[in-house]
Amino acid sequence: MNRPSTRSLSTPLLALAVIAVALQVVTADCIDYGSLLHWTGGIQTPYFAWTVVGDSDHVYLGDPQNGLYVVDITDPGSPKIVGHLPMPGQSHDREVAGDYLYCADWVEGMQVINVADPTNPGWVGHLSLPGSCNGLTLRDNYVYLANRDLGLCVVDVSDPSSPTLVESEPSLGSPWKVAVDGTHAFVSEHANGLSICPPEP
Amino acid sequence: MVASGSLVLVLDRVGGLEIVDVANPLDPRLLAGMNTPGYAWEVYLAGDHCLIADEYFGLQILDASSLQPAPIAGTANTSGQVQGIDVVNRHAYTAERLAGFSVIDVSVPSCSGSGQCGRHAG
Repeated sequence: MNRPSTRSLSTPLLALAVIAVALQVVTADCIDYGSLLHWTGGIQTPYFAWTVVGDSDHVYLGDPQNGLYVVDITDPGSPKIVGHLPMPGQSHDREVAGDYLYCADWVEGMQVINVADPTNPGWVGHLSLPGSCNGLTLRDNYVYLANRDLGLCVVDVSDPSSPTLVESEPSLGSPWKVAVDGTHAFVSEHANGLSICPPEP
Repeated sequence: MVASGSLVLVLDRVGGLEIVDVANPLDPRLLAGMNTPGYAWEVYLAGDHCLIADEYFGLQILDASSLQPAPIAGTANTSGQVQGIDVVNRHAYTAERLAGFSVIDVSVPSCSGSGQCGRHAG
């Protein structure tokens, strides 16, 4: 019995597959990101937004005049403002974790906001600080704040209703932004480069 | 600013992105600087690429994998002046002066899965 030849079929298919793989490799190495970026949607806020942080279904916009806006991004092509909370300060850097949003609120210190119900965000805690707070990052139960007067501030937020300053590093000149990894805190300063500090409170 | 492994990505508002080797915290070293056309306000690291909120010039994407100065890999224009950025799933969300915010599909290959795929800058 003559078996059907598969070789004569597989050879051109194999050749095509090789070409396809080669093209994929070339494509992967030569990605034109300009062609990949697509404006999907947007939303106009009453004043303007200058900070944004998101979780899976919402982004939180900071408006220096009007405070916090919660935007539903379930459909990224049709974002909707679903919540709003006026803020006393100018709503700078922010991080969201679980039910809470932590906000560096410029001359009004740090705010802790409950966002469990995105349609009804509400204050749960506040820490007054001298100077102005701009940079903020969260790691475990600690918020790291860049404060123009106090330098790098470490705030215990294990109880969100009662944030507590546990340490500050005032030797830094004029902190602006802060990032933290497992071993150090990194602080960028106005006109003074980058400082590296031990992060443990 | 983003800390990732032994590198820290710092934005110099006028000078753009600077990549600093902090493997020895007592002796940080500037590895590369990559300028952007506008004022760089915030950076988000997605794999080997940096998404930068670049006031007046929208969203800029830089390839930081080589740790060498590289041309802009991509740009998305926005209606306002971008000052903040975060990425959720495949979309970048930009906070903008005078315009609210924009949603930009940034489905780059390193960022095509579900969930957060990069690190947000403080």
